Amino acid sequence: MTKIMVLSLLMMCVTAPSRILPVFFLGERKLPPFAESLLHYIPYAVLGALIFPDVLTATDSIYSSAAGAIVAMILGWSGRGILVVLAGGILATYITGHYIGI
Amino acid sequence: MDAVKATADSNNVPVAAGFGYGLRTGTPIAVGYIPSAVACGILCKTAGLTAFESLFMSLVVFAGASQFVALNLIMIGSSFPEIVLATAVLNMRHIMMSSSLARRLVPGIGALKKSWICFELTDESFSVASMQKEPLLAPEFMFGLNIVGHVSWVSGTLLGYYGTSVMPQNLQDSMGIALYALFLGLLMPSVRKSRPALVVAAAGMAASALIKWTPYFTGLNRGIAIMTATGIAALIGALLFPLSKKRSA
Repeated sequence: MTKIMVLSLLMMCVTAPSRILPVFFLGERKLPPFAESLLHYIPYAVLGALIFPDVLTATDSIYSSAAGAIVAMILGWSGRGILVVLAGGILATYITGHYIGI
Repeated sequence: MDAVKATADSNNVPVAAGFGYGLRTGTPIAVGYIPSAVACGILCKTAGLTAFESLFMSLVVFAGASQFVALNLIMIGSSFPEIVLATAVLNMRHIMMSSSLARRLVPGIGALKKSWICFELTDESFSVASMQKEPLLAPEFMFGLNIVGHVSWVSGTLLGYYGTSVMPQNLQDSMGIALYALFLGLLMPSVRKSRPALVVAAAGMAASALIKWTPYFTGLNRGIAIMTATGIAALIGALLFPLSKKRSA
């Protein structure tokens, strides 16, 4: 057991509880409607908070990152599968970043 | 409340079930992870970890942002307590995700299964699982969904460590967009269908940007920032669009 492995286990010990414990507290019990609404909206709130503004610094160039994000948004909006959105976003970033050079 | 009772004792609520379906649903996560996992492997090597230590860390910690921060702190010679504290704070945002997921799992899952499902919870697996059209999620589905991501994260780390990445460097740079494209691909169809979802997601973006760009919060741990922005946006959603008694997701 190296020091890094001990550190990894310690990191696991502090990250696992925030992942695991809430599911037991809120499992199958009835909640007031307000709390129910709050939990219902968390996924959309999380996605929004994760995406912006960090997407702009996803690559070295803010423009090619933005281009990738816009293409992904359009493809996602038009209901394409996730893999298509993924490929489209990467391709747009690649093309704008390395061929157009922005 | 009718909604809870209905999910607890009704058989006609659609359930996302099956290990194989979970695997397929999780594939985009696996693809999205590769670039970050490769970057993580490269950073592991730079920080002086052995290949086995890198693999071990990715396996047991399985948290991208936390690993990046930890590796950076290792390189600048921070103490273990500092690193562990930073990791803990960064990952507290999972409290909200786990709470939200709790309402989507089929009732009556054993404690061990539940713990395992949530041990592998990440921003990405949570996003994919909660954007699933079925209101309920079966444990086998979650196992499948989680395991592809976990395997991809660990193998990507090794790939990066050994520098055997087959991708040319400039394509690798562009791959930084991958996780965000994944998030956008998940979010867009939902916000197109539901105005409350659109408003909440936009509020999340606004709050997140506001925190990031306010000079006073510059030193703020990004995990805390995202958690705060999430809380604000979900609160706005719950205040503006409370769920009706008959819940239609």
